[in-house]
Amino acid sequence: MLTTVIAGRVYDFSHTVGRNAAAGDGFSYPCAIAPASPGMLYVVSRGNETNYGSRLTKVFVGAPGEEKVLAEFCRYGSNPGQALWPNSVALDKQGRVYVSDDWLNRIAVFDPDGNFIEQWGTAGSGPGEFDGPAGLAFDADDQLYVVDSRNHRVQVYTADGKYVSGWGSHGRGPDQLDTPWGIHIDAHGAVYVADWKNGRVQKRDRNGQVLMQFGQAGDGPRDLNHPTGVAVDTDGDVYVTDWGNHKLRIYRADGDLITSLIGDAQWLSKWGQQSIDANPDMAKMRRRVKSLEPEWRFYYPTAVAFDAERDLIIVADCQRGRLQIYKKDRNYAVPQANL
Amino acid sequence: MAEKREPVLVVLQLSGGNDYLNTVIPYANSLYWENRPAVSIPEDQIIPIDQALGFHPSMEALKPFYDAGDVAVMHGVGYANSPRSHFRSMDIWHTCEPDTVGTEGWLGRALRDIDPNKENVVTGVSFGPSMYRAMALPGVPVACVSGDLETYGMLPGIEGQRRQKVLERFKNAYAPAIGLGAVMDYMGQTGLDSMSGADILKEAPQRYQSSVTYPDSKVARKLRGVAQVHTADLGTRIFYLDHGSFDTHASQTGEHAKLWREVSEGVGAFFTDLREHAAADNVVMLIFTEFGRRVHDNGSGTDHGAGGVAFAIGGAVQGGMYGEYPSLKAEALTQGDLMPNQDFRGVYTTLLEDWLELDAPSIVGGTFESPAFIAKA
Amino acid sequence: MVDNHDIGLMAHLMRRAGFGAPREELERRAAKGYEATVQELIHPENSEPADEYALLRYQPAALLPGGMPPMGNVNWMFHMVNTQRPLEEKMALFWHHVFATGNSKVDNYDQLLAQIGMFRQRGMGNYRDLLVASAKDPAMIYWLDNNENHKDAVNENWGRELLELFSMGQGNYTEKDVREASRAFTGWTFSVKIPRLPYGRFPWAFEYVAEDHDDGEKEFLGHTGNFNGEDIIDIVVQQPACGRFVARHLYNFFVADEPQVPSWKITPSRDEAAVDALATTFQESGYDMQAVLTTLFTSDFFKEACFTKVKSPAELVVGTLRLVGGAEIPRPDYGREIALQPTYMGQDLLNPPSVEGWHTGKEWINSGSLMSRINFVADMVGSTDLPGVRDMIRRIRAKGSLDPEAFVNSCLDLMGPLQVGTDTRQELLEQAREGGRLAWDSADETEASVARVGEMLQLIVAMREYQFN
Repeated sequence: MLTTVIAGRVYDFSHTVGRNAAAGDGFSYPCAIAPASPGMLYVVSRGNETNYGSRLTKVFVGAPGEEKVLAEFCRYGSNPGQALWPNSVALDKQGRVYVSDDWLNRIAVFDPDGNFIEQWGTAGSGPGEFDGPAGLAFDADDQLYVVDSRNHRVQVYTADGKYVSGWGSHGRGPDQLDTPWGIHIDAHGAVYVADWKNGRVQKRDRNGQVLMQFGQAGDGPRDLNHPTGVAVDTDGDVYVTDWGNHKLRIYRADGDLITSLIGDAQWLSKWGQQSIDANPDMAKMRRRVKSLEPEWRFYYPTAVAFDAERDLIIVADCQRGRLQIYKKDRNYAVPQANL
Repeated sequence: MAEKREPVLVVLQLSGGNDYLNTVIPYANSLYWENRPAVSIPEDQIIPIDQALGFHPSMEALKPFYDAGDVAVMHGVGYANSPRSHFRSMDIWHTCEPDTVGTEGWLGRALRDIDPNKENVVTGVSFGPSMYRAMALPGVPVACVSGDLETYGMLPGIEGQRRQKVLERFKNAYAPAIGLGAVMDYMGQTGLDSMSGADILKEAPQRYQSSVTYPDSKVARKLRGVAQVHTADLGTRIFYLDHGSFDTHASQTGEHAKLWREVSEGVGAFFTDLREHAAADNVVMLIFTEFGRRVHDNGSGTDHGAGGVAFAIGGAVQGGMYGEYPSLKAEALTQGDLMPNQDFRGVYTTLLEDWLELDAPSIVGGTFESPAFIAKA
Repeated sequence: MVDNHDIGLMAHLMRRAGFGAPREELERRAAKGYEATVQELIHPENSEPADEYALLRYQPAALLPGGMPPMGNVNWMFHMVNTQRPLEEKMALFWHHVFATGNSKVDNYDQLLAQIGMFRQRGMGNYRDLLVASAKDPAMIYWLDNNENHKDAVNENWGRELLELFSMGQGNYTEKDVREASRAFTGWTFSVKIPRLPYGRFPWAFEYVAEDHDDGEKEFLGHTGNFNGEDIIDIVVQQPACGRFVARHLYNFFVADEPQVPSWKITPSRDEAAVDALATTFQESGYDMQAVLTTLFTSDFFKEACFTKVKSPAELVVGTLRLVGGAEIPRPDYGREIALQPTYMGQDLLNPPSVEGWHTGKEWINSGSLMSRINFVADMVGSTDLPGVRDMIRRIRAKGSLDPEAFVNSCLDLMGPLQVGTDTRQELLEQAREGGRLAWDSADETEASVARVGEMLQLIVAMREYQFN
């Protein structure tokens, strides 16, 4: 369903942006998103070794059909300003763009237009060292939280890369982590970590004290399977990409599951339509398919972001090379049920 | 008069599907501009060939060769029912088997006919990580240079003087001995052949000197390797190399231009180098790709197509245009692609019969109309 | 107590029924016992598979690789390197050799990987069910044109290969049987899938189109009836030729190199009694591959076949990687540097040269492939910082100062235990003697000894003996 009305909230599917592309108008395994004002997104494409389409795309996303690539940077490579396994992106107060490299164990910094500024980080397991830096988030004091995934911890740095503190250890216990991935910091400074292999999202205070957890691992319909991304909206609702179950989970702040979205891309994106227009055989085969429904759905959704200016929920639909965008509609008049 | 030197064929494969429309550009045809709202070459940059066609601006280094009558442009090359799959299509080009899955390469058959007694282990040399199917035929030795010619050989990880000793031990251990059995014997001989092939080829860079500077690209490094082996007079008759990827589904404009600059400048340097060594006259190069690309662009690139363009280059080539540019009219397209109107096996036939002086039908699997792009002596 | 003979036999079992094993694993398994290990291998459900989620986290493109390498190769290589179910994976490779389906035509690594997954799941189950699943496998249907096999226009490609290459072999059926079998499979096709533009690949699904199925009576191998595809397979597996055919494939893959399939009609197996024993179990167990594999691995003809087969490129590469370690998480360029190595050596996994599969045995070896094989393995074992190589060095060092002979013997032992001929041993000894005793008393000696072990391992893998399994 395109519109989900539940628990006093309305999630209305807006549109899809992107297509599978190694460069230019599209994404290649998009795995992280950072919204920027006005109407801009930075999107990390993880890419692959067939066409090396990894990169950061700065894209303007307006109303449906109004999307435009403004810059592409941080392409495949190990030189300064490049990345081998770009994982996540976050913006500091000045709008500078921070990108984690899961393989090269470093953070690269770019100006808002994608010009390379600096990089920092060394491999290792000591304080301030990385083994697989993944999710990134800034707090209100412009401190950068880095998920240090294969060290199973979160480390805090100043914006210029000085180590401040860190917490987390490897294991399944309530205050431990196993190969965490995404991270988000809410308006009150609470930290949410997608504890990937443990199948849950932890909420901690800024010092790392566990406050609560969202979801749990398991095979049940409400359980999480390798969650990857997390975001919190202006009402305190929590969004989690349930990667292995191909769902977006939405929780109340108290941890109660409100609903799950599964992807509703019933119309082609603008760039997707261009591909079809250029390939008559593809267009023909689409008309012969019994159902296009599988195309609507998320396939390994990896990241979620909330655009507070426009109340948009933006999901990086990794395997499909696109973003799916929903609006949290606050002015929805519910029609009569007996129509 | 100097002894007539054996003809040599160099095949350069453009992997991934080169965009015909933006290589030899039908700039006078309004349909080109209509179909390429995003992926066209600005008219003022096109290198005009005549009133209708022009080369991609990156092909500047090849233009003098064309003007000198050393470049044949083969239009609309392909075959019926193009599958638009890289693999299948490349296989068909490699094996000349459009209907069944073939295993024997056309050049493998040519090598067999050139050197039936396998007297020279470097009659065929390929530059790439593994054997191209075009060169493959059971029992036909082909030297596969996977990296640089300079480091080609057994156990390159062991360095310095110790390497010589280790290789001595290798040779001793592989030497014929009694009672080891057929498979061990075969492996022993193969190991020694493989080493001697490497020994022979490794000589080439040592003997080679040139004032020509090749540009810094993968294809240029491979072409320099070809020049080194060719000028060393080791009896190599067929060289194979590739470049790519030309699979420009996205951001085609910049990528395609870069690839063609690399090819053009590399090939230009290669022939200049051969001329400096007075070794150009007996070399003809074939440049081909597995298919052309879709006529209409997709907003930033182009998708898999059918009919493509091939080139033959060399002093023995009768330059000019061969065949017709396929029609761009909507009703003439096949699934949005240019309809091939020249069979690739005809192009091979010319190279085999008029250049290598081999029996073509037994190699390409039949008789095909062949463009006469090799100048008769 | 585990002795060297037990280790040698366990190493043989693990090389053949898997991709070899490091010394620590061999010792652990040998302590459990040979028969117990065979049981463990044929019951993979008790061990961990490779972690698909880890693969997709680090190589998301390995899920739907499309038509171009190397991500499909990355996917399978990851499984072969990481699985704790070695025989399950080896059987998938075995069936890939038999039901050889290639990307050159299918242009779709996703569907080829799905087929390999099906082999993983069913490869040690019932052969009849495996044949039915193969007949319904979309990659197979497309590869052998059964989607073009219609009621009013029969295409015999699948029907013929089912009999010739997947079940009985030439000489056991007539052209009429091919025709009738093909008729029985009309209407076995796949539904149209969502095309790959613009969002990547979607899976194909098997579809039976009753309207396109030839409902008429068929005569097949002496049976008459209104047969559908499954009836044909039921008749096929009952034929003695089918048991012998599967047995001979197993013998060729697991025991000793045989000539290629097309010559089986005229050339007997090098061990007819072994093939008979396997075929008998096949029939008596009702085509149960677990039973056949138990007969195979517990037989004397298997145990006595050490180092008699030329390693396939996949066996060589995976065996080396599992020995030296360090390839558990895919790294950047894993595709070209690791996953495509078998391709460079002449075994392009998921893309066999034809439906007849690869030419195996000594035909793996030519001047190009031999050099690729030697250089790749030497590069790996010469990397003395890799965990498996470090472990070998640690074990040699634990023996203290070694004279040249003991040095060579220790290295050969850890690389197999590998048996070598007199001439080879002589050259290895020459190499060892050059540096005198291997000593570890000072930092300088240790550094020199580590380098010498690395070089010795490289020379060992360059010897012909290492090319055998």
